[in-house]
Amino acid sequence: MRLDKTQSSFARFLKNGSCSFELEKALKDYPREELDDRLNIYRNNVFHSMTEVLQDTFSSVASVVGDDFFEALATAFIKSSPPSQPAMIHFGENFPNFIENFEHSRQLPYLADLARLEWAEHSAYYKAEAQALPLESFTSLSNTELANAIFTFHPSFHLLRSSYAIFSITEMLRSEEIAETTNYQHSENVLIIRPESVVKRYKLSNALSHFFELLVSRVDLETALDEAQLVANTLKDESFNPSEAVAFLINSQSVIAVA
Amino acid sequence: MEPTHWAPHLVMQAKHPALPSTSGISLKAQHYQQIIETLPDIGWFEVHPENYMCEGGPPHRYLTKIRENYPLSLHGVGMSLGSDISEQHLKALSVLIERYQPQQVSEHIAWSQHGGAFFNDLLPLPYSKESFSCVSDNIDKAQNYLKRSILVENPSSYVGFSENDFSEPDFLNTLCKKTSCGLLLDINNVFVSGSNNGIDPYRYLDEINPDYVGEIHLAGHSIVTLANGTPMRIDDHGSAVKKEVWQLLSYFIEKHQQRFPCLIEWDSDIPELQTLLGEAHKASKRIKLALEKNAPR
Repeated sequence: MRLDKTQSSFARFLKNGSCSFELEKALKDYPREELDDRLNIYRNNVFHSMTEVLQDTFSSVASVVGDDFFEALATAFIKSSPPSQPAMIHFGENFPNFIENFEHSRQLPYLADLARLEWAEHSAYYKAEAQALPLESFTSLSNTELANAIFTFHPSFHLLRSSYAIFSITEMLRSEEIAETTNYQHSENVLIIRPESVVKRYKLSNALSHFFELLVSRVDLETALDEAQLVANTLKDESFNPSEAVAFLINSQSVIAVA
Repeated sequence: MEPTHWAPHLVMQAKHPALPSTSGISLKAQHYQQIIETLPDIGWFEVHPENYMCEGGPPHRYLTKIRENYPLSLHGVGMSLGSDISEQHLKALSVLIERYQPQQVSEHIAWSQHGGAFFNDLLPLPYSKESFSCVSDNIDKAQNYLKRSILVENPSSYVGFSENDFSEPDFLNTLCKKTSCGLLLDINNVFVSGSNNGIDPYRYLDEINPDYVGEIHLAGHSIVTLANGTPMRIDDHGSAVKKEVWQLLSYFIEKHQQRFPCLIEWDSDIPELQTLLGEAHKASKRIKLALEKNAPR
């Protein structure tokens, strides 16, 4: 029980930085200042290593807000939702929601969705492997078979809809070019997928997104195309083209099985 | 009569060939491509299994290729032998063991989890009887679950505890005896902790039973000065092995005239692959010299 108490007070120190009498008593008799300095080596390691993990995963968020703000954001997040498992590749799933509610980043309303995009890319990187269907698997189907086809998607496939221009923001941040001032107050949808070793992302129109969402929910191809066309007509989106949609479905290597 | 619940590990151990008693290096993502292209002359690689606790992706693709060509050691940082170990974590580790058939599996004498929160750091334990039974029960649990014996590593530390029932070497030797685990002797940690906590590293090494040692770690560390002028050595694995640590390695090998698998760890400010290979080569040369020194002529 004593060990548990020592660890509790050590854990509390790591979180809030104040050394309790209990912890002080459990440790050697150091001068007070030295005791704090020694313990702070652990505290700094903990926050520094976890902040680095978040910074690697959410590099675009970090570029937008700058290092100091990101550190404050990460520290607040680590205190409120410390990792619940030892493998750090799983740490950060709740970071986007935390950002959404973080009062100091409310002037950047797109930040949470930007983080969602980065988490989706991070997750896609580690998802299970699967072989995308080659073109021949589609061309060998008769027209009726193709119209009735129901598809299984790659495990890394993820479609994200945002009210903000998160695809454009990410492109701008990663191109290293100084961008023109742009209005980011328009919605963008992003498809994230890792068919082989590289994570890819594509910007999709609302109609095309609708098409994919229907297919993912196991609606047949013909119905999905018809419904997506309706959405395109309603939105007066002339860019939607059924044969191009099917070509993109194949070329993006999104499909791993057809039934 | 002594309890014999550990005996199955001895049987299990025989099924897993140990690492070769040569030098190895940490496998870093920065070097994946170069390693599979050039297949450098190195005895074995070590990885943190936590970085591979995922279903797929490039890390597994590379590790699979590298495993086809080299022996592998899984060196965990997240089991938290000093508090509670989770079955979920053991399961994830056993999946990796099944997949990669590593020659060795190891962990740290530390805690990294409390109340369900993980700290991503190796936190220090008092060497009390209570800690001993906690760690030893957890090692039993891990070895039984994984159906193999593991090595446990001596920690680097920045604080000492007021009440200890064991010295660190005594704690480790007794753990090895009780649980039939082995010892991963991190000589950099011996030096770092010794320097930070006022313990003679040579005397420490004298107390270690070499028969328990299954692997040696070497790494670099940095030095900071606390506000009151106390120098502290920080185990950051971000530079070349320090002279004092090389000397301790020579001392240990000269004294026991045994070869051990010996790893160069490098986890921050990661240099070119060539630098790591150079350090591993240096370790092999040091060990060879130390073995020749006392060899009968």
